[in-house]
Amino acid sequence: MCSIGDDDVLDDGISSLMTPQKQMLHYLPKGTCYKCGQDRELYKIHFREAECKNCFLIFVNHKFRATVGSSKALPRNADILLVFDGSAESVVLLDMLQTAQSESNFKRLHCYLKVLFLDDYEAYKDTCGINDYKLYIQQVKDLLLSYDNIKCYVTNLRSGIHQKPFDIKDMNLYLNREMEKEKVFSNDINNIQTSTSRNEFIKLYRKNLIASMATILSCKYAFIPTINISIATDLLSAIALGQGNNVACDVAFKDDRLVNGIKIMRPIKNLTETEVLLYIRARNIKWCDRRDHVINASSSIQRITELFIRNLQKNYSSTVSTIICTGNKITSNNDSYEEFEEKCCLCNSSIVNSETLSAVRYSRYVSERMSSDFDLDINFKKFLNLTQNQDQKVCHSCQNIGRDSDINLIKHYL
Amino acid sequence: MPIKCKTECGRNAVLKRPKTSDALCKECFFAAFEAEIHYTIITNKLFTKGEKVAVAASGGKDSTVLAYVLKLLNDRHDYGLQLILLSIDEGITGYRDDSLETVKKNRDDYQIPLKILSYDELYGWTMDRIVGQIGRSNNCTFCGVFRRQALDRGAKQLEVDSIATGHNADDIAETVLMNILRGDTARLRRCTDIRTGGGENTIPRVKPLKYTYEKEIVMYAHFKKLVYFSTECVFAPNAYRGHARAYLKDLERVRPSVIMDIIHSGEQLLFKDTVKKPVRGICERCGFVSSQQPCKACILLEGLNRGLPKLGIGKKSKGDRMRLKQDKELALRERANLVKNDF
Repeated sequence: MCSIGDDDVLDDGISSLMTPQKQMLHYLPKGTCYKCGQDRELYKIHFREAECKNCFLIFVNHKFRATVGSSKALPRNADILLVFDGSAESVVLLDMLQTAQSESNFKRLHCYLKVLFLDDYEAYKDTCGINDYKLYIQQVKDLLLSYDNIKCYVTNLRSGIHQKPFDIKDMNLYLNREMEKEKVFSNDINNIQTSTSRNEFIKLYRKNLIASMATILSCKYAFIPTINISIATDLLSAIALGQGNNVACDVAFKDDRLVNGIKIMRPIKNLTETEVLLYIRARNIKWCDRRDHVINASSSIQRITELFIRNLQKNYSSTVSTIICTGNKITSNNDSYEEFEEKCCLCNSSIVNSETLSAVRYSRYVSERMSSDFDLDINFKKFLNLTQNQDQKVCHSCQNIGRDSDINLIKHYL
Repeated sequence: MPIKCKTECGRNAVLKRPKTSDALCKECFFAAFEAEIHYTIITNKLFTKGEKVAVAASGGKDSTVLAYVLKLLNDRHDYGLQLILLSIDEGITGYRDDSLETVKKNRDDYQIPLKILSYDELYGWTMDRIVGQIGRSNNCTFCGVFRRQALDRGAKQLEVDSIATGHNADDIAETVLMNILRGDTARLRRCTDIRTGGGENTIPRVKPLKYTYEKEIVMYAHFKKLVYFSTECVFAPNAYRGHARAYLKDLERVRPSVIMDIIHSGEQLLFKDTVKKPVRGICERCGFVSSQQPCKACILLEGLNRGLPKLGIGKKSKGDRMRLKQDKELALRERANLVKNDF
């Protein structure tokens, strides 16, 4: 059992996150800024000299603009849908976009922004009571309405993919909507046997929902508020889930695997948790943290990975940045063989075969019959053809979701 | 009520295969385990008839099972291989001396000739003496680098066609994770290869146990009553690998197939054209395979012989500065001696 960071993990495997960073918001030392030389409150982040508020904000905004600019993937006057969930990261991204749009002409980010509040209560309802949820919804509404020049919408993770989002001003209408179909959806999610597969399904469904909402709201680009630690977790989780051939899309600035041509972008992928929290302090903005940031250490591959990375980061401070650097060197084989390769009907990733998958199939083959029936030629080839036909058009990772639930039901939703 | 074997052979199951979650009896497990290794050897064309193969033997569970199964399959399927056990004595008192006794027992049991090479005779240093110099940190670097080259040296002496190592699926999955965490793209590219090396002047290494779970190797050795050495090295284990190992074990608890999934992912990783690839060459000093000049083993050895054990640890520039400083001090001392002699 990994013993790193044991002090932070309670007996039942629950760890509280972001506590040191929260404290940091209240106590900032005063001193001389290394950049402008003025005596002010100092914002200190790892691997960087302490600087004043203004210099810090210039640095963080530059980081965001550099990520968007260097990708060369966002055209001028693009219609952008910002996916908002009230978290610190999404509030920061919204504020940065707002700042970028109000810059002087030379520095202005020329785009048309719409905000979609994606209410994902379904994914975390085990850790949040109904009263906290109602309070959270009200906070998000107030926060979004404070941006009076941006059109804001709300939709639910359980919503049908083609269901129109509500205007944020019609929050009461949203809360009193028809929920019969959503209850069926919740029931189907709960029937997925493992939380690893449940998380994967929610991830895929969420992506499709974002793409669909973007299409309905006439946006070609969707900005998601993913920061570096989430990218590192996604990368390592994807490796553990057997998605090596598509991992580049999970960590890159742009993910263009969606069928309707919508491009998902991660403009704050290079920001750290500390930078996000310091930005919030510097700009004096509010965020609505509805989750109590509880990690059950043994529940799913994604959770174990997140906890592992957070613990390792405490002892080896370059862990997250090294994982991100490794991810940046990986490319997707979606680009090279686009015309020839078959795509997975669930996640739209290319379907590949490997010696390892053949070895797994052979293991199943020999575990099901007596040794006298082992045959590398005729019998195994028959078995291989049979299993390959069954697995057709579903990638290896999605087949694993299918093992924990009814694959046809999953296909129905995706 | 006892669970019946999945193969419907009529016997009661004695274990649940970690790899497929199937309940099997002892006999069917043996058959499946051996058939899988045979499948790996055949489909990946690891050997050709008449080849001389060195089995890297440490006396541990992996190499013991590898030697046993290779001998068994060689006889059963008429591979026509000439097997030799090749062991490296690192000179670790209380660990390697005991495990070598196990290898000698395997030699007698399986009737396979054994060749033992020691760090002492190859490099003039034992690990006990190296640890005396470097301490308990970084000692695994010396051991790993020297062992890798020692196997090449042994294979060259024995004139074998390939070296079979006991790397199992868990080891490979762990290495994939570790290389991602360390950002080592050069190793990440090749760590899932079932065959490495094999170019000009190099002897290929093969991993017949690449798709075999560690748990199943232990079960096989246990039910077959094979003699193996199971003590951990007396020097500190590699701490960073320990993190990757603990993480993998946690993942395996949630989804046992994760080991094969990670290997599959590792095989599918493609790198951008801009990522540098190390060029494999030959060390100008020792003549063995290396991607740098001189090779790591030669730098580490130079450090030990100069009394600067940290010479090969860390950045090259740091090593160069250490070397320069010592050369200057030696030159000064020599000049001082000359002056003294004049009087």
